[in-house]
Amino acid sequence: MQSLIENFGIDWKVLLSQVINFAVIFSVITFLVYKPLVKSISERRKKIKESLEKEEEASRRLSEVNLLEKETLKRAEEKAAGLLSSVKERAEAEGARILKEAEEKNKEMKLKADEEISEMKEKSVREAEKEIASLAKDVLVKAVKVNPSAVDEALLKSLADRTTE
Amino acid sequence: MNIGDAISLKAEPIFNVGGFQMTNTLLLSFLVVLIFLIVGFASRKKIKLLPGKFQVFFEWLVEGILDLMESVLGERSLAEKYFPLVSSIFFFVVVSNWLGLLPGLSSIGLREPGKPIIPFLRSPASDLNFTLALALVSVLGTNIIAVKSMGLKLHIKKFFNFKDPIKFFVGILELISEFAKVISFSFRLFGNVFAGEVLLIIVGALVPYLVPMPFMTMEFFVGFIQAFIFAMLTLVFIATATAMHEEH
Repeated sequence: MQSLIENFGIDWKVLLSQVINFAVIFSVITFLVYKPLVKSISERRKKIKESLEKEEEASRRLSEVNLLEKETLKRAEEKAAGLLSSVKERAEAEGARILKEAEEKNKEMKLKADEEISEMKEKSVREAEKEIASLAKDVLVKAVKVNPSAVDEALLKSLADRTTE
Repeated sequence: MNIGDAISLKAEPIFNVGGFQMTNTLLLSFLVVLIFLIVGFASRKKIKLLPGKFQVFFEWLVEGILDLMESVLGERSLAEKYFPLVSSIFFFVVVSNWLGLLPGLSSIGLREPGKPIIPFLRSPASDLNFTLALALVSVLGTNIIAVKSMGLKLHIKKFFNFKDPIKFFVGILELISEFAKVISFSFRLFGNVFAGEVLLIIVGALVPYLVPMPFMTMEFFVGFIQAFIFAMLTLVFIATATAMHEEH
């Protein structure tokens, strides 16, 4: 054993120094490199995980919003279509009403016009009769002046005509 | 000059500090520690949420080692827990081995007439003190981990079991194996690195130009492999120590 130690130059002081050297390297690797590195890796992993979750949430929300948008659009379209059809119906009804009214008015106006026309006709006939009577009177007066006997004859003749009838 | 004179099993002392002999292997070991301190303090300030190139490299390295450890230990949390010990062993050994291979390292040193140059810096693993220190750290570390995970009582019971003769005998074997572990750990690394050094000295002495290059490459590879083996064996022993805990 002694010769082994002698031959290989084993010296407990050197051995201890090497152990201390190892301890120094162990602490350097543990505290200066490994732990900060693991900390930063785990922090980064956490952050990536968080952002991935956020992204998932965002895309989920986006799809929800898209669905909502589609639904709203569909509803709006349906509503618009309903509105349009009701407006159309109402417009048709209104049109029909207006047409009917116009027809009635037209009829009324025609009736009124007819009345007016017949009235005017009567009036003009009356006036014409009046004119004719006065004219006849004048003619008669003039005839009497020219030949009073002729009047008598005419009168007699008309009398005779009435009696024969 | 005889080639054999240049090969020394022991680490050569360079200077004395109050009765403490500073050897060339210890000097290089200190240099490695210094490099680790510089890199450690430099990297600490640069660790950010948005990683730079160095951080990406470090993270890749850490993740790779953690994945490997997870495949052995079975659990990510265990891999994260024992990462410092295993990776410290690996990086200490690999950086020491690679620095020890730097060309010209063996030609800068104390010159005394009629004697071979004593290099100022020598690969730490070519000194049994270094490998023995690491082996003790590894074996003691795994024992401490075993005690922590299954309790002192059960751990001692593993070595001293008087319930039946078979278990008693197995316990004795376990105890011997712990010492065997220290010896195999230290001599495996020491033997490989020392042999590599001797090989390079001999090849360099025979053909100084070009021919040592493939050998250098091979030693570079061996330096990595030995560090890997050392760390992996420690990891396997940790795995058995923690797996025992699950059985109980």
